[in-house]
Amino acid sequence: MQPLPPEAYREEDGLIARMQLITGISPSLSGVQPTGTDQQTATAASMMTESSSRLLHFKATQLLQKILARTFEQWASDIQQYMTEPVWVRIVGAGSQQVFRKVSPEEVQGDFDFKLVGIDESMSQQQRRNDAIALVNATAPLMQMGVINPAAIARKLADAFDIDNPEELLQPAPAPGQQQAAPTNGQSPLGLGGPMGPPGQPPVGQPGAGGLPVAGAGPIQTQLDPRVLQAMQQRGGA
Amino acid sequence: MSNYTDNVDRTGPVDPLVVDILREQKQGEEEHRRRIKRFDRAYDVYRATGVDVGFRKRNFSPWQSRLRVPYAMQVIDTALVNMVSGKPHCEVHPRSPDHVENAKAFQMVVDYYTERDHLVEKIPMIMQQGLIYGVTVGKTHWLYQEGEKIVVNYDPLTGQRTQQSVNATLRDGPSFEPWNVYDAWWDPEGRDIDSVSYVCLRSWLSKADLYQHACDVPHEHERAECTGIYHNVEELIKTGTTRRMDTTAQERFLMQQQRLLRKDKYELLEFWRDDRVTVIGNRRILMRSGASPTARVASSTWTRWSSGRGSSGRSPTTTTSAPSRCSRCRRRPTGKRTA
Repeated sequence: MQPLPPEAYREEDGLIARMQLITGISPSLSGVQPTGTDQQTATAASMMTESSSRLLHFKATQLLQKILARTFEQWASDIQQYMTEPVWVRIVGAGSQQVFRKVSPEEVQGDFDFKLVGIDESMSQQQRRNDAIALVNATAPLMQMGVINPAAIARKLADAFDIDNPEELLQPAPAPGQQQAAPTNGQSPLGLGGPMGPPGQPPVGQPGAGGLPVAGAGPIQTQLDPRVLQAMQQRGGA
Repeated sequence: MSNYTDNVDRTGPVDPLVVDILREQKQGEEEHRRRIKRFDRAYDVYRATGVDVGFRKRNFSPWQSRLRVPYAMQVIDTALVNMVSGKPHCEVHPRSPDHVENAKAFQMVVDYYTERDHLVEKIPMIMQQGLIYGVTVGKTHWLYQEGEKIVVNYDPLTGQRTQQSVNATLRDGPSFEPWNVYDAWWDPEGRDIDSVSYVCLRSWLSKADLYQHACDVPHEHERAECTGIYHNVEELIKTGTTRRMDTTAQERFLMQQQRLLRKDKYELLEFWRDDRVTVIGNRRILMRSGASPTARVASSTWTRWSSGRGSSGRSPTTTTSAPSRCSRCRRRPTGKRTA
């Protein structure tokens, strides 16, 4: 029997490597310790994961947009065409309070656009949460100035943390008489350093601040639920 | 027809429409048969059965290992878990100020139907099928089901428990059904699913299924009078049952010894066009022909790794109050029927 050439023993590795190259399923994505590439640093590992997940993200988007989006469009026309009886629906409001409403067939008539959301899930959950926290940190000063709607940020945060009811994150609006007086001492309304904060205080979102209140500087006066802020503090400090 | 063994009587007259449709879809089905060989090989690679590399070939040396590591399964499943996560949600936006309130109501209804149909649970199935075979198919339709439901009552005075069976509407809403790629083919001349002239979906029904969906109005009648969606059911049953002999790679893997698949079943071909739907039983009996229940069969495509093919049509088997005309009916329906 003829001895096998040396490259025959490496053929399997070559095939697997090509399969990984074509599919985008890298060893790190599979949960396998990668070899041959310097991924000792978090940045390198993050870059590798991001680049490999792009292909998967593209595939998932193709599939979900082309199948699910059209499915919903067809459902919509079916609902308008075939729904003949009223349907009871449950609405979860603030504080997980449930409200029931009967929707009649007449109420579903009209011209609508449909947008598929929630399909950018090939990105890791941890990454989404980090992004949401960064968004909150970056927009906190603007929220205090009333430039940005905190509810929209809360929704992003709720989506990242899989909170079904984003309204839970928002504090109920205070009564007019209980409105906190705006600071008049010339300091930032945050009570701590922001990007333009007083000297000596690290700016929000920069290393050293963690995007969170500095000890002794007082809490950020946002409308976010203290429980969420606490969770963010823990995550931000990690 | 060589893939089937059946007791079907093929001597009787055949509706000219059936002949025309079978002739039209012949090229697509032949293309489909060639595609099935690739499906089988893809599944064998996925499962690492070794069939695709010829374990039984004579030139397979005795010293060669028969052990196969399912690398493809590992890769595909890893891709699957990275691609399928989260909860897709459809946002409804009004196109004009007149429909703002209705859009809110519509949003609630869509959310309810999404939960009711367990749509999220079906996504991995349709995605996995696409990853393994490169093609994935699904069908949307309006699902209306009636059936018996056990209702339990407690006497407020004695506390005695009684239960009774009542007829109830079990489902009345849109549904998405993942479809086996082995049972779907289309116009091979189409550039994509939107440009194909037809899509053919095959299903296998039992006698009980056929009777459940049969229209039993004996005389010629209008669509609104139909009590079911299939006509000529008795004629179909008289022609005999069909049994498919060839098995898919998946069936061979999962059911090692079972060879009598789809025994005593009747083959139904749903032939979908943009504006019409025709159902043929045992490739001989015209069971339904009329305008499509919806204005247009919208479909979607997707191919492995890049772009592809899949289709979604509207089911003729479970459609309610479909505004179509069957071969025996003359006007559009107005009422709801039991599927």
